[in-house]
Amino acid sequence: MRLREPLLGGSAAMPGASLQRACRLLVAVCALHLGVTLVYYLAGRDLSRLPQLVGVPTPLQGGSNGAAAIGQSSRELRSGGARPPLPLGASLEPRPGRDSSRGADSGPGPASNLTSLPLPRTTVLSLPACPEESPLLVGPMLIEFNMPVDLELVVKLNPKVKVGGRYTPKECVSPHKVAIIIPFRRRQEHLKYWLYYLHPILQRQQLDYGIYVINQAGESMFNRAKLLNIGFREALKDYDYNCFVFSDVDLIPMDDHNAYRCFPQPRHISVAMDKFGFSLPYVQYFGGVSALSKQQFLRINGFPNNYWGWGGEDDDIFNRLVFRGMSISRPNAVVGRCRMIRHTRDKKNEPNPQRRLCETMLSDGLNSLTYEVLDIQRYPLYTQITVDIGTPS
Amino acid sequence: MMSFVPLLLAAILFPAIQAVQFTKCEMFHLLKDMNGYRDFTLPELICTLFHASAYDTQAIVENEGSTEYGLFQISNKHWCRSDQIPESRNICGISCDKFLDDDLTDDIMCAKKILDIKGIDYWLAHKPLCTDKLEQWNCEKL
Repeated sequence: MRLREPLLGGSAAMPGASLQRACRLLVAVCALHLGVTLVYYLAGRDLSRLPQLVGVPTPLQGGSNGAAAIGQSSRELRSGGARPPLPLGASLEPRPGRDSSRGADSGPGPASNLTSLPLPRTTVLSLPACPEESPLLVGPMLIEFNMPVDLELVVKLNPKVKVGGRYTPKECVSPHKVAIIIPFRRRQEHLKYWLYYLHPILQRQQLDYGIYVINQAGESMFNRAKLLNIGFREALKDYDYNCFVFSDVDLIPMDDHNAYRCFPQPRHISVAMDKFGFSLPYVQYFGGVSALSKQQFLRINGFPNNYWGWGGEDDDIFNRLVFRGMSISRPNAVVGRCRMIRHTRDKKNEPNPQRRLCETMLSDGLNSLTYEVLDIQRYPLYTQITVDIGTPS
Repeated sequence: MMSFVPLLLAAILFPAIQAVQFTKCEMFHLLKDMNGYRDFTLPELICTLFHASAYDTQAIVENEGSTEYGLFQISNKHWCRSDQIPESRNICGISCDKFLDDDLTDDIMCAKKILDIKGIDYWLAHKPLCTDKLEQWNCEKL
């Protein structure tokens, strides 16, 4: 009020009543702006409730809220200018003048076409491409494994993730259609941490992604690379993914600038694991978490199927890439820091049995892959494919 | 108070008597008399040992019916004596578990014999991983 007095007092000296009206209009617009800000604040960041506040019937659930509303509202505010959505009947802020009440009345009118949630046709046409680097990233994160994880809570914390562990950004079109393949057997506790930490990160990275846990049935020695091959095959039956991230179940990135997507060269993601003192154990190391585009993967005939038991297959994969003239792309060692869940003995590395690198790229890989799918489960946060991969021949 | 002293001594000595995992630069010092043996440079040897045992003197790894011991992952199939393979030729004339302590003189002696008789390809990681990009295995502190 004190601020307004000088204005009114001064208007007596100002030439013309029109200027006085202009000032009042300006004040009204500012108050409107403040009101809208207050509405957003009170609705919290959960903008899925905004349509309800505006009085528009809430449209499609699952996948078309939240982020879409952001895009919708901000576009509307830019173009609509003077008619931002106002809560009907809400006594949240004073109504300074006729403009706002008119705005409120006509809120559901012309504005409703925009605030009611996007039908795919109009949305796809008007969505911009996602930026090169997501604006949602937070940088270094605290990663801990001393608290239990309840997957039902994780589902609630990630409402935009669809069944099977699928997510598509609604605020922009992502060029990265990423299938994340996790080789797995009896590591449910690790998987829970992985899902808890990674789903928010992957969404912030604005990826169009799906999570595939490839579960080895039976008791033969674990064959990581063959499970990854199977993940590639099976994921492509769902969607035309163009990028494949292969991740061990117990590795969590510590900085969300470490992009879980593909690059012009094969990408090594877990470059600085705590297990290795946050450094690369050796330059040719390609284990842990890596990303290959569909083309890169096909170029090396996928991964070898004949590495049973721990170790060696990642060196083989490195060899295949080098043989095909590719090189490894990596983030810097700060961004590339990763935590491993499993508490191993305090050794920098665990020796694996000495084994020859097979150098059989042409005959051992996708073109020789045989397996049987025993079961596919679409859980809320991931798709689990249980497979029989046979035994070492 | 008097009983505290032996306890303290024990507490100090206990970590000292456990097996050691060396760093890359410590390896340079420990293996200096292997430098140039059979024309192999130290970085090459140290790279090979990293992939074999991760510099762990206590490494013991099963490998398809035989077992490999220590820093150099010497196999009981031909090179040392163990209960698992009584018919081993035991070329190095030594019990395999002697390769699990911190005294490397016997390990080095046997490793030299392996290099003489079988060659560097006894260590399967050497060819794919230790024939190039050897700069990463240098020790800058020397």
